[in-house]
Amino acid sequence: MENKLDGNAAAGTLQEIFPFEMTLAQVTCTGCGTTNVIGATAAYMHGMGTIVRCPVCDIPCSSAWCMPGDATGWICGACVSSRSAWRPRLSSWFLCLVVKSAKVGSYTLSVRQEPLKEGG
Amino acid sequence: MERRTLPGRLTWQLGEVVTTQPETARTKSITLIVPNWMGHQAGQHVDVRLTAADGYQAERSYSIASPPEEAPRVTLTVERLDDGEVSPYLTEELRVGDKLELRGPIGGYFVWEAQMGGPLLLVAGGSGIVPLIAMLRHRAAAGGSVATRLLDSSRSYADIIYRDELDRLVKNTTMLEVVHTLTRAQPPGWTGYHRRIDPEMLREVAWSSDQRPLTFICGPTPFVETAAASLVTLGHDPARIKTERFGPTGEA
Repeated sequence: MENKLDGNAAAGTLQEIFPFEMTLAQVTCTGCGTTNVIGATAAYMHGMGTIVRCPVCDIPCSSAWCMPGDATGWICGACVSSRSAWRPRLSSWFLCLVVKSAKVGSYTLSVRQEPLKEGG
Repeated sequence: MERRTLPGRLTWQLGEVVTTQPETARTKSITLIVPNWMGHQAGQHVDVRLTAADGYQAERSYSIASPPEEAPRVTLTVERLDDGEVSPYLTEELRVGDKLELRGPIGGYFVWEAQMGGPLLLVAGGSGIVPLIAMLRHRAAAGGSVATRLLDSSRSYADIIYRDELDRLVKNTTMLEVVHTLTRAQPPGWTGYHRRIDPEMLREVAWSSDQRPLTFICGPTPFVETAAASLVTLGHDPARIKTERFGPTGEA
């Protein structure tokens, strides 16, 4: 069953891959232009992995499930580009995470990390 | 796993259980000493991993209940879900002296530190109180007097997690108000709220929108959505409302 949580819920999985706290990283939706930190997005937790979607347009991104073989890692239409030849067709901004592989090194991170401490 | 370890990347470590404390019939606090604990902020969580004899692993996230000031002691409060894979073990099998595999602290979004100020509005549904009690404990430990209101929704009086401690905090610290609502059963003579949270209740309890409170809402998904939507309807700035939903996936 799909369970809607906050992007914050994906923090552990993200930090397993990226060597810093990710929930304050800022991302912009390529669908509607909304900018949010990952912690404020909507996360859908499945047995297969975790999808983080724009909380405003929330467009389903079923194409993300077509992962070839055991190529796992992080794919994101907006903020992470993969150097691998295979790319899903992305209809909207989303982050798709199908967890745990050493292939992580082949992805490039281009998000901006916000300072950890926020003003009140 | 021969994966390179990068600084900052999460790694699993072992904590040793030093105390356990029943909070309600369904919840228990587990305090661990985690030798390499790097410190945390109130509101953060950890992932806990159990490994069965056959190698099967189950992983769940639990909010940290203890304030940063108690490190390297880390307390989790776990609600037992009858059909869960992890919480029955944590609440019923785990004993003092046992080791538990965990990683963290995790998350930098749903956190509050005393210098972030307020006024602070905390809205808890059931065990959603756990990261919020960490904020209240941190607030008390830091000697802060940030004006704070907690709206705490529980099924019954006996289901109020940290009930006595909340009473003590109200008595012993300044500028803290705690309002309970009991959604299913109320003790005789109960004069407080006895319904699920709704916009009317939030209008009465929350700071007004022009006071621009910093709001943290934690609870089951429908609870959080009702609370957040109500506050936005009341004119609160969505950018100052932080939410943490939990749901069955954590334990499905």
